[in-house]
Amino acid sequence: MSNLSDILRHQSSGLREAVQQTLAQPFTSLLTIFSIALALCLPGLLLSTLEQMQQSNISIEGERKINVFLKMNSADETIMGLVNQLTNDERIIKLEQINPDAALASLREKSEFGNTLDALTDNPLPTTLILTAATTLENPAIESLAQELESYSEVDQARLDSEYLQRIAQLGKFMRTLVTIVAILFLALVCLVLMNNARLEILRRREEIEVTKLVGGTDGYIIRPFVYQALILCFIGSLLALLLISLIFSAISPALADLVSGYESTFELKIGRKTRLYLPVITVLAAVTATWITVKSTLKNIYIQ
Amino acid sequence: MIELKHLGKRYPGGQEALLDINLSIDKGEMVFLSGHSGAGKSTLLRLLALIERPTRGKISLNDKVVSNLPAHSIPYYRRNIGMIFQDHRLLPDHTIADNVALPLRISGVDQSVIQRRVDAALDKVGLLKRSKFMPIELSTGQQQRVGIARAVVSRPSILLADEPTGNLDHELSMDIMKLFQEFNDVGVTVIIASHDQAIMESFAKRQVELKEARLVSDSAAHSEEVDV
Ligand SMILES: Nc1ncnc2c1ncn2[C@@H]1O[C@H](COP(=O)(O)OP(=O)(O)O)[C@@H](O)[C@H]1O
Ligand SMILES: [Mg+2]
Repeated sequence: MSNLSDILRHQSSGLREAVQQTLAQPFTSLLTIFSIALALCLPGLLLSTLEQMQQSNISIEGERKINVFLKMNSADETIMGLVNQLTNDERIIKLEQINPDAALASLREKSEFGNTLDALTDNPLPTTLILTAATTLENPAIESLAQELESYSEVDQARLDSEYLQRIAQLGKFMRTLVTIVAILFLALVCLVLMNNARLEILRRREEIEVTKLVGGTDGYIIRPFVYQALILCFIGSLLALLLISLIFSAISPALADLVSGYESTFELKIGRKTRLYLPVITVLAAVTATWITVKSTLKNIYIQ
Repeated sequence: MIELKHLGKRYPGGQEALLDINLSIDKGEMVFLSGHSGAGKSTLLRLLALIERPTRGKISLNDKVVSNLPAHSIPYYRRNIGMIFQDHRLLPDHTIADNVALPLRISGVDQSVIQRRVDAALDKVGLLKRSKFMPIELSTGQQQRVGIARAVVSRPSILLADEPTGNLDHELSMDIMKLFQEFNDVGVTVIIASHDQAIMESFAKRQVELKEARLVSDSAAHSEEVDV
């Protein structure tokens, strides 16, 4: 038990030392906190946007339709059989059958080409089934359902009603890659700032570190305050980043609302839950690791073992 | 007991600082290391504190070889040794009390205990009233006494002092040396490097002389040295 209390005492003294160091140089600390916050803004903005996109993706329920064009002149029994089979398929929650005559009539009604269509002697339209996929189905599953349908002998073509969903998915993939790259770059920036700070600080306090070693201070004793300081600065920095991001979002929200008002979209800019969690946690972890490695290796340059 | 056997130190530049030193120092002894500048006194003390490693021979403490201790054990080894430097090496931006508290803080001693032991150490060197001062506000002699308080605060069994009176006049030097003698009187092993012959002769203590990296004389005849 004395081991555990020793550890706790060492950690708490490291933390206390770190707080003292941070407060002793308020200007430097603030500069570092703001650098961290600014560096985290862009990845945070992107991550939040991505998160919102992924959520609004789910809310586009209208776009789960597959248009199945049957072969021309399919026999009525064949069509009936297929319709029966599809109605019993769990993956399909709605089936609408549009006969060639009805389709032509509605086309005539809607279209400016009404008269042109009159000139047709034969109805060129096939029987069409409009299927709505179950909401439990993910986008890839809907695609494979369409492919499966296309393989049926009576089906000519099965097309996803809209490529909107796919577009969203592609955009999502692109955004994810972008967010990952930007996050890595800016996280590296944060780490570099902290590593540089730690190096300079060690050199500035070289005498103190040497004396500490001479009286029996372990590397751990010397390293701990640096690591805790990185933790503190990064934690405050990422909270500040979250604040800045929400300010930026509320500034651009009105413009975005105008932009999307024409669409039926629930898209809304705000800080997502993942951003709120990942931004501080990942930043702090990266910073702590980078600082630990830097201090450990810089200490090797201080001659006293 | 400290025992040096065929101890040699050659610096990376090729300078031979110590050659074949054989010496044993009993627990509770007070020893002066004398010799001209460059004789190897500081090197010997640095080897004892494991600031440097010997290039030949070995150092044992209480029959245990310490000169090959792994790096991670060195801090714990040093906590049993108090070191005093000519330039005292106080931290200029810490108070006197904070400076003296450092050896206790690194070993995680409770704040209340630290307070008590720092006060006791400062009292011992006659500077209790200056505990809130900064080092720069003290005279050189007072700064050196703070250095001694820092060295003894964790009650080490060995004190190593490298020219502790180098910057002081005779009277202040005598005060400092008397302080060392007081610690020695209560059983602390004290090794002091000095080139101030007058000071050393005022104390009837063992004197070991180094000259050009070699041990050339030892005022105490030690039977252990027969095997040289
Ligand atoms: N870090 C070092 N690197 C190279 N040579 C050194 C180093 N320290 C001391 N020396 C050399 O070792 C010899 C002994 O030095 P030192 O132990 O400081 O003697 P003293 O303390 O008796 O004056 C000197 O010749 C000195 O130049
Ligand atoms: Mg010297």
